[in-house]
Amino acid sequence: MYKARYTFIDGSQSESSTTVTLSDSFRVDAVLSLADALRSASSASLTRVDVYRRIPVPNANPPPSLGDPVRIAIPAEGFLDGYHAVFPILPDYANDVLSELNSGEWTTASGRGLRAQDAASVSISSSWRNYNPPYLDGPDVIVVLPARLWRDLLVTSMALDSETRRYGEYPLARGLARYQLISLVQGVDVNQILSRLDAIIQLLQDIRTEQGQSEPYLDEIEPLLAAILELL
Amino acid sequence: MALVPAPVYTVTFSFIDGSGSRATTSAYIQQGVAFVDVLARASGLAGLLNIASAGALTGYTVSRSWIEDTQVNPDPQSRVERKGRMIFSADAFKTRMDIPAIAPALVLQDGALDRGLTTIGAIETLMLTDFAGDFTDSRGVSLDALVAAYEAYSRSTRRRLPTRRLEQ
Repeated sequence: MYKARYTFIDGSQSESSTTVTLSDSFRVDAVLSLADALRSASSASLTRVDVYRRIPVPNANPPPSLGDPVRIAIPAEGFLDGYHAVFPILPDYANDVLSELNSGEWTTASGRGLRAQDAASVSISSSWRNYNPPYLDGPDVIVVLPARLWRDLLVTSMALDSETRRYGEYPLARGLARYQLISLVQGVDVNQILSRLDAIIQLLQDIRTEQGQSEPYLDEIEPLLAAILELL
Repeated sequence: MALVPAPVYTVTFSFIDGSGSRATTSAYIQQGVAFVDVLARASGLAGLLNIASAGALTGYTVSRSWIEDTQVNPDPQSRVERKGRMIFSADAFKTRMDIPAIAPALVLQDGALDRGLTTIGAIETLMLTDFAGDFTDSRGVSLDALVAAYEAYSRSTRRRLPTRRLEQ
Protein backbone atom coordinates (compact mmCIF):
# COMPACT_ATOMS: atom_id res chain seq x y z
CA MET A 1 0.00 0.00 0.00
CA TYR A 2 0.95 3.61 -0.53
CA LYS A 3 0.07 6.80 1.28
CA ALA A 4 -0.85 10.11 -0.30
CA ARG A 5 -0.23 13.16 1.86
CA TYR A 6 -1.87 16.48 0.98
CA THR A 7 -0.30 19.52 2.64
CA PHE A 8 -2.15 22.80 3.16
CA ILE A 9 -1.21 26.22 4.50
CA ASP A 10 -3.76 28.51 6.10
CA GLY A 11 -4.13 32.25 6.60
CA SER A 12 -1.91 32.16 9.68
CA GLN A 13 0.79 30.34 7.68
CA SER A 14 0.18 27.17 9.70
CA GLU A 15 0.68 23.94 7.81
CA SER A 16 -1.41 20.84 8.10
CA SER A 17 -1.68 17.69 6.08
CA THR A 18 -4.17 14.95 5.57
CA THR A 19 -3.27 11.45 4.49
CA VAL A 20 -5.17 8.76 2.64
CA THR A 21 -4.17 5.19 1.95
CA LEU A 22 -3.83 3.91 -1.60
CA SER A 23 -3.91 0.42 -2.97
CA ASP A 24 -0.86 -1.10 -4.61
CA SER A 25 -2.42 -0.52 -8.01
CA PHE A 26 -3.47 3.08 -7.46
CA ARG A 27 -3.74 5.44 -10.39
CA VAL A 28 -1.92 8.77 -10.36
CA ASP A 29 -5.08 10.37 -11.69
CA ALA A 30 -6.85 9.34 -8.50
CA VAL A 31 -4.26 11.15 -6.39
CA LEU A 32 -4.38 14.32 -8.46
CA SER A 33 -8.16 14.31 -8.78
CA LEU A 34 -8.51 14.10 -5.03
CA ALA A 35 -6.07 17.00 -4.78
CA ASP A 36 -8.39 19.11 -6.91
CA ALA A 37 -11.42 18.06 -4.86
CA LEU A 38 -9.71 18.84 -1.55
CA ARG A 39 -8.55 22.19 -2.89
CA SER A 40 -12.17 23.07 -3.59
CA ALA A 41 -13.31 21.99 -0.13
CA SER A 42 -10.69 23.87 1.87
CA SER A 43 -10.31 27.57 2.48
CA ALA A 44 -6.59 27.00 3.01
CA SER A 45 -4.22 26.51 0.07
CA LEU A 46 -2.88 23.19 -1.09
CA THR A 47 0.90 23.42 -1.37
CA ARG A 48 2.06 19.92 -2.20
CA VAL A 49 1.14 16.30 -2.62
CA ASP A 50 3.43 13.43 -1.68
CA VAL A 51 2.86 9.81 -2.49
CA TYR A 52 5.11 7.49 -0.53
CA ARG A 53 5.61 3.98 0.61
CA ARG A 54 7.53 2.97 3.69
CA ILE A 55 9.38 -0.32 3.52
CA PRO A 56 10.39 -1.54 6.98
CA VAL A 57 13.39 -3.78 7.33
CA PRO A 58 12.38 -6.47 9.81
CA ASN A 59 14.48 -7.51 12.74
CA ALA A 60 16.74 -4.50 12.67
CA ASN A 61 19.18 -5.28 15.43
CA PRO A 62 21.81 -2.60 15.66
CA PRO A 63 25.38 -3.64 16.38
CA PRO A 64 27.39 -1.64 18.91
CA SER A 65 28.33 1.44 16.95
CA LEU A 66 28.22 3.11 13.61
CA GLY A 67 31.88 3.98 13.87
CA ASP A 68 33.14 6.59 11.44
CA PRO A 69 30.57 7.10 8.74
CA VAL A 70 31.74 7.39 5.21
CA ARG A 71 30.75 10.32 3.08
CA ILE A 72 30.40 9.93 -0.64
CA ALA A 73 30.36 12.70 -3.21
CA ILE A 74 29.66 11.98 -6.88
CA PRO A 75 29.68 14.62 -9.60
CA ALA A 76 26.48 15.05 -11.54
CA GLU A 77 25.91 15.80 -15.19
CA GLY A 78 27.23 19.19 -16.17
CA PHE A 79 29.77 18.99 -13.38
CA LEU A 80 28.20 21.97 -11.65
CA ASP A 81 25.60 20.17 -9.66
CA GLY A 82 27.27 18.05 -7.03
CA TYR A 83 25.70 15.19 -5.21
CA HIS A 84 26.41 14.66 -1.60
CA ALA A 85 25.22 11.98 0.71
CA VAL A 86 26.24 10.84 4.13
CA PHE A 87 25.98 7.11 4.27
CA PRO A 88 26.86 5.55 7.61
CA ILE A 89 28.69 2.70 5.98
CA LEU A 90 32.01 1.00 6.46
CA PRO A 91 34.82 1.94 4.09
CA ASP A 92 35.21 -1.63 2.88
CA TYR A 93 31.76 -1.49 1.33
CA ALA A 94 31.95 1.99 -0.14
CA ASN A 95 32.74 0.75 -3.63
CA ASP A 96 29.65 -1.45 -3.77
CA VAL A 97 27.42 1.47 -2.81
CA LEU A 98 29.22 3.77 -5.23
CA SER A 99 28.75 1.30 -8.01
CA GLU A 100 25.00 1.28 -7.43
CA LEU A 101 24.72 5.06 -7.16
CA ASN A 102 26.71 5.41 -10.36
CA SER A 103 24.58 2.95 -12.29
CA GLY A 104 22.79 5.68 -14.23
CA GLU A 105 19.53 5.30 -12.33
CA TRP A 106 20.18 7.81 -9.54
CA THR A 107 20.06 11.58 -9.72
CA THR A 108 20.51 14.71 -7.64
CA ALA A 109 17.48 16.31 -6.03
CA SER A 110 17.10 18.53 -9.08
CA GLY A 111 17.04 15.56 -11.43
CA ARG A 112 20.55 15.62 -12.86
CA GLY A 113 22.02 12.21 -13.43
CA LEU A 114 24.98 11.14 -11.35
CA ARG A 115 27.97 10.55 -13.55
CA ALA A 116 31.35 9.75 -12.12
CA GLN A 117 33.78 10.36 -14.96
CA ASP A 118 36.34 8.14 -13.34
CA ALA A 119 37.35 6.91 -9.95
CA ALA A 120 39.22 10.12 -9.22
CA SER A 121 36.09 12.24 -9.55
CA VAL A 122 34.38 10.38 -6.73
CA SER A 123 35.22 11.44 -3.25
CA ILE A 124 34.99 9.38 -0.11
CA SER A 125 35.62 10.91 3.24
CA SER A 126 35.25 9.52 6.70
CA SER A 127 35.19 12.76 8.66
CA TRP A 128 31.91 14.47 8.14
CA ARG A 129 31.35 15.71 11.65
CA ASN A 130 34.37 17.98 11.48
CA TYR A 131 34.00 18.91 7.88
CA ASN A 132 37.07 18.14 5.89
CA PRO A 133 36.37 18.84 2.26
CA PRO A 134 36.79 15.92 -0.07
CA TYR A 135 39.49 16.09 -2.67
CA LEU A 136 37.67 16.32 -5.95
CA ASP A 137 39.57 16.38 -9.18
CA GLY A 138 36.99 18.49 -10.93
CA PRO A 139 37.66 22.04 -9.74
CA ASP A 140 34.08 23.15 -10.29
CA VAL A 141 32.31 20.49 -8.32
CA ILE A 142 30.20 21.85 -5.53
CA VAL A 143 29.33 19.49 -2.76
CA VAL A 144 25.73 19.82 -1.64
CA LEU A 145 25.50 19.43 2.08
CA PRO A 146 22.58 18.68 4.36
CA ALA A 147 21.03 21.80 5.87
CA ARG A 148 22.66 21.32 9.22
CA LEU A 149 26.05 21.54 7.59
CA TRP A 150 25.17 24.60 5.58
CA ARG A 151 27.79 26.70 7.30
CA ASP A 152 30.42 24.55 5.69
CA LEU A 153 29.01 24.97 2.24
CA LEU A 154 31.25 27.80 1.17
CA VAL A 155 34.30 25.62 1.35
CA THR A 156 35.03 23.86 -1.94
CA SER A 157 38.03 22.16 -3.31
CA MET A 158 38.81 25.11 -5.51
CA ALA A 159 41.88 27.19 -4.72
CA LEU A 160 41.99 26.44 -1.01
CA ASP A 161 44.82 24.26 0.19
CA SER A 162 44.21 21.72 2.89
CA GLU A 163 45.99 23.67 5.61
CA THR A 164 43.87 26.71 4.95
CA ARG A 165 40.73 24.67 5.15
CA ARG A 166 41.78 22.82 8.24
CA TYR A 167 42.44 25.89 10.32
CA GLY A 168 39.51 27.88 9.08
CA GLU A 169 41.50 30.74 7.65
CA TYR A 170 39.11 31.34 4.81
CA PRO A 171 40.27 34.02 2.45
CA LEU A 172 37.34 36.14 1.48
CA ALA A 173 38.61 37.33 -1.83
CA ARG A 174 35.55 38.81 -3.41
CA GLY A 175 36.08 36.99 -6.66
CA LEU A 176 36.37 33.62 -5.01
CA ALA A 177 33.30 34.04 -2.85
CA ARG A 178 31.37 35.38 -5.80
CA TYR A 179 32.40 32.42 -7.89
CA GLN A 180 31.34 29.99 -5.20
CA LEU A 181 27.94 31.55 -4.72
CA ILE A 182 27.28 31.71 -8.43
CA SER A 183 28.20 28.07 -8.69
CA LEU A 184 25.77 27.32 -5.93
CA VAL A 185 22.98 29.10 -7.72
CA GLN A 186 23.66 27.07 -10.82
CA GLY A 187 23.96 23.81 -9.00
CA VAL A 188 21.40 23.96 -6.24
CA ASP A 189 17.70 24.63 -6.19
CA VAL A 190 17.21 28.38 -6.18
CA ASN A 191 14.62 28.14 -3.44
CA GLN A 192 17.20 26.60 -1.17
CA ILE A 193 19.50 29.53 -1.80
CA LEU A 194 16.77 32.04 -1.10
CA SER A 195 15.69 30.28 2.06
CA ARG A 196 19.22 30.39 3.35
CA LEU A 197 20.34 33.86 2.41
CA ASP A 198 20.39 34.82 6.06
CA ALA A 199 22.72 31.92 6.75
CA ILE A 200 25.02 33.02 3.93
CA ILE A 201 25.16 36.54 5.27
CA GLN A 202 25.82 35.29 8.77
CA LEU A 203 28.55 33.02 7.48
CA LEU A 204 30.26 35.84 5.65
CA GLN A 205 30.04 38.00 8.75
CA ASP A 206 31.46 35.21 10.87
CA ILE A 207 34.36 34.82 8.50
CA ARG A 208 35.04 38.51 8.77
CA THR A 209 34.94 38.27 12.53
CA GLU A 210 37.38 35.40 12.48
CA GLN A 211 39.72 37.55 10.52
CA GLY A 212 39.61 40.13 13.29
CA GLN A 213 37.33 42.53 11.53
CA SER A 214 34.18 43.08 13.49
CA GLU A 215 32.26 45.09 10.93
CA PRO A 216 29.92 43.09 8.74
CA TYR A 217 31.33 44.71 5.60
CA LEU A 218 28.09 45.01 3.78
CA ASP A 219 29.95 46.45 0.84
CA GLU A 220 31.40 42.97 0.37
CA ILE A 221 28.11 41.17 0.86
CA GLU A 222 25.89 43.31 -1.29
CA PRO A 223 27.69 42.53 -4.56
CA LEU A 224 27.32 38.85 -3.78
CA LEU A 225 23.60 39.18 -3.24
CA ALA A 226 23.36 41.23 -6.42
CA ALA A 227 25.15 38.44 -8.26
CA ILE A 228 22.57 35.97 -7.01
CA LEU A 229 19.68 38.18 -7.98
CA GLU A 230 21.08 38.61 -11.48
CA LEU A 231 20.85 34.88 -11.95
CA LEU A 232 17.28 34.48 -10.75
CA MET B 1 -2.17 27.26 -10.30
CA ALA B 2 -1.21 23.69 -10.84
CA LEU B 3 0.61 20.85 -9.21
CA VAL B 4 3.92 20.25 -10.92
CA PRO B 5 5.66 16.90 -10.50
CA ALA B 6 9.07 16.93 -8.85
CA PRO B 7 11.78 15.75 -11.26
CA VAL B 8 12.76 12.80 -9.11
CA TYR B 9 11.60 10.11 -6.79
CA THR B 10 13.16 10.46 -3.35
CA VAL B 11 14.34 7.40 -1.50
CA THR B 12 15.03 8.03 2.18
CA PHE B 13 16.92 5.39 4.14
CA SER B 14 16.69 5.25 7.94
CA PHE B 15 19.40 3.87 10.18
CA ILE B 16 19.79 3.22 13.87
CA ASP B 17 23.06 2.72 15.71
CA GLY B 18 24.03 0.95 18.89
CA SER B 19 23.33 4.03 21.01
CA GLY B 20 19.80 4.24 19.66
CA SER B 21 20.62 7.32 17.57
CA ARG B 22 18.87 7.51 14.27
CA ALA B 23 20.01 8.92 10.96
CA THR B 24 18.52 9.25 7.52
CA THR B 25 19.99 9.76 4.11
CA SER B 26 18.34 10.30 0.75
CA ALA B 27 18.99 9.28 -2.82
CA TYR B 28 17.04 10.14 -5.94
CA ILE B 29 15.79 8.44 -9.06
CA GLN B 30 14.69 10.18 -12.23
CA GLN B 31 10.98 10.46 -12.93
CA GLY B 32 9.61 8.40 -15.77
CA VAL B 33 10.38 5.11 -14.05
CA ALA B 34 7.43 3.07 -12.82
CA PHE B 35 6.90 3.07 -9.08
CA VAL B 36 7.47 -0.67 -8.86
CA ASP B 37 10.80 -0.31 -10.66
CA VAL B 38 11.81 2.44 -8.26
CA LEU B 39 10.95 0.14 -5.37
CA ALA B 40 13.10 -2.59 -6.88
CA ARG B 41 16.02 -0.24 -7.35
CA ALA B 42 15.61 1.14 -3.81
CA SER B 43 15.46 -2.38 -2.46
CA GLY B 44 18.76 -3.16 -4.17
CA LEU B 45 20.51 -0.17 -2.69
CA ALA B 46 18.92 -0.85 0.70
CA GLY B 47 20.37 -4.32 0.66
CA LEU B 48 23.83 -2.97 -0.04
CA LEU B 49 23.55 -0.28 2.61
CA ASN B 50 22.33 -2.73 5.18
CA ILE B 51 25.32 -4.94 4.57
CA ALA B 52 27.68 -1.99 4.43
CA SER B 53 26.48 -0.23 7.56
CA ALA B 54 27.84 -0.97 10.99
CA GLY B 55 24.52 0.30 12.25
CA ALA B 56 21.28 -1.15 11.02
CA LEU B 57 18.93 -0.06 8.28
CA THR B 58 15.45 0.11 9.80
CA GLY B 59 13.61 0.86 6.58
CA TYR B 60 13.30 3.16 3.62
CA THR B 61 10.64 5.34 2.10
CA VAL B 62 10.08 5.92 -1.59
CA SER B 63 8.19 9.10 -2.36
CA ARG B 64 7.00 11.08 -5.35
CA SER B 65 5.88 14.69 -5.00
CA TRP B 66 3.90 17.34 -6.78
CA ILE B 67 4.47 20.97 -5.80
CA GLU B 68 2.16 23.92 -6.33
CA ASP B 69 3.86 26.06 -8.95
CA THR B 70 2.49 29.44 -7.97
CA GLN B 71 2.48 31.52 -4.83
CA VAL B 72 -0.39 30.29 -2.69
CA ASN B 73 -2.80 32.79 -1.20
CA PRO B 74 -4.93 31.14 1.47
CA ASP B 75 -7.96 32.92 2.83
CA PRO B 76 -6.55 35.09 5.67
CA GLN B 77 -9.32 33.82 7.95
CA SER B 78 -8.68 30.15 7.22
CA ARG B 79 -7.36 27.95 10.02
CA VAL B 80 -6.15 24.41 9.57
CA GLU B 81 -7.49 23.46 13.01
CA ARG B 82 -10.99 23.47 11.54
CA LYS B 83 -11.24 20.08 9.96
CA GLY B 84 -13.81 18.65 7.65
CA ARG B 85 -13.88 15.09 8.92
CA MET B 86 -15.11 12.37 6.60
CA ILE B 87 -15.55 8.88 8.01
CA PHE B 88 -15.55 6.04 5.51
CA SER B 89 -16.35 2.40 6.06
CA ALA B 90 -14.16 -0.35 4.69
CA ASP B 91 -15.70 -3.73 5.28
CA ALA B 92 -16.48 -3.74 9.02
CA PHE B 93 -13.89 -1.10 9.85
CA LYS B 94 -13.85 2.65 9.58
CA THR B 95 -11.22 5.08 8.40
CA ARG B 96 -11.20 8.84 8.31
CA MET B 97 -9.88 11.69 6.23
CA ASP B 98 -9.66 15.25 7.56
CA ILE B 99 -9.79 18.25 5.25
CA PRO B 100 -7.76 21.08 6.82
CA ALA B 101 -9.51 24.47 7.03
CA ILE B 102 -12.80 23.19 5.69
CA ALA B 103 -14.57 25.95 3.76
CA PRO B 104 -17.26 27.45 6.06
CA ALA B 105 -19.82 27.37 3.24
CA LEU B 106 -19.70 23.57 3.31
CA VAL B 107 -20.67 23.31 6.99
CA LEU B 108 -24.30 23.26 8.07
CA GLN B 109 -25.61 25.06 11.12
CA ASP B 110 -25.43 21.90 13.22
CA GLY B 111 -21.83 21.10 12.31
CA ALA B 112 -22.41 18.46 9.67
CA LEU B 113 -20.85 18.85 6.24
CA ASP B 114 -23.46 19.57 3.63
CA ARG B 115 -23.37 16.39 1.59
CA GLY B 116 -25.91 17.84 -0.77
CA LEU B 117 -23.33 20.26 -2.11
CA THR B 118 -21.34 19.38 -5.18
CA THR B 119 -17.97 19.80 -3.47
CA ILE B 120 -18.56 17.19 -0.79
CA GLY B 121 -20.44 14.93 -3.17
CA ALA B 122 -17.54 15.09 -5.61
CA ILE B 123 -15.08 13.87 -2.99
CA GLU B 124 -17.39 11.03 -2.03
CA THR B 125 -17.93 9.99 -5.65
CA LEU B 126 -14.28 10.28 -6.51
CA MET B 127 -13.10 8.09 -3.63
CA LEU B 128 -15.86 5.51 -3.79
CA THR B 129 -16.89 5.31 -7.43
CA ASP B 130 -14.68 7.11 -9.92
CA PHE B 131 -11.52 5.50 -8.60
CA ALA B 132 -13.02 2.51 -6.87
CA GLY B 133 -10.32 0.35 -5.35
CA ASP B 134 -7.64 3.03 -5.39
CA PHE B 135 -8.49 4.39 -1.95
CA THR B 136 -8.33 1.97 0.96
CA ASP B 137 -8.13 1.83 4.72
CA SER B 138 -4.84 1.12 6.44
CA ARG B 139 -5.34 -2.63 5.94
CA GLY B 140 -5.68 -2.20 2.20
CA VAL B 141 -9.42 -2.87 2.12
CA SER B 142 -11.30 -0.72 -0.39
CA LEU B 143 -13.59 2.01 0.92
CA ASP B 144 -17.24 1.20 0.42
CA ALA B 145 -19.29 4.05 1.93
CA LEU B 146 -19.16 7.48 3.49
CA VAL B 147 -20.78 7.02 6.87
CA ALA B 148 -20.31 10.46 8.45
CA ALA B 149 -19.10 13.91 7.56
CA TYR B 150 -18.86 16.76 10.05
CA GLU B 151 -16.69 19.62 11.18
CA ALA B 152 -14.20 18.90 13.95
CA TYR B 153 -11.43 20.80 15.66
CA SER B 154 -7.99 19.35 16.03
CA ARG B 155 -7.72 20.51 19.65
CA SER B 156 -11.37 20.09 20.61
CA THR B 157 -12.55 18.28 23.66
CA ARG B 158 -15.49 15.95 23.36
CA ARG B 159 -17.77 18.59 24.88
CA ARG B 160 -16.80 21.21 22.35
CA LEU B 161 -17.32 19.08 19.25
CA PRO B 162 -20.21 20.09 17.05
CA THR B 163 -23.57 18.70 18.11
CA ARG B 164 -24.27 16.61 15.06
CA ARG B 165 -21.31 14.32 14.87
CA LEU B 166 -22.98 10.95 15.00
CA GLU B 167 -23.23 8.83 11.93
CA GLN B 168 -26.11 9.74 9.74
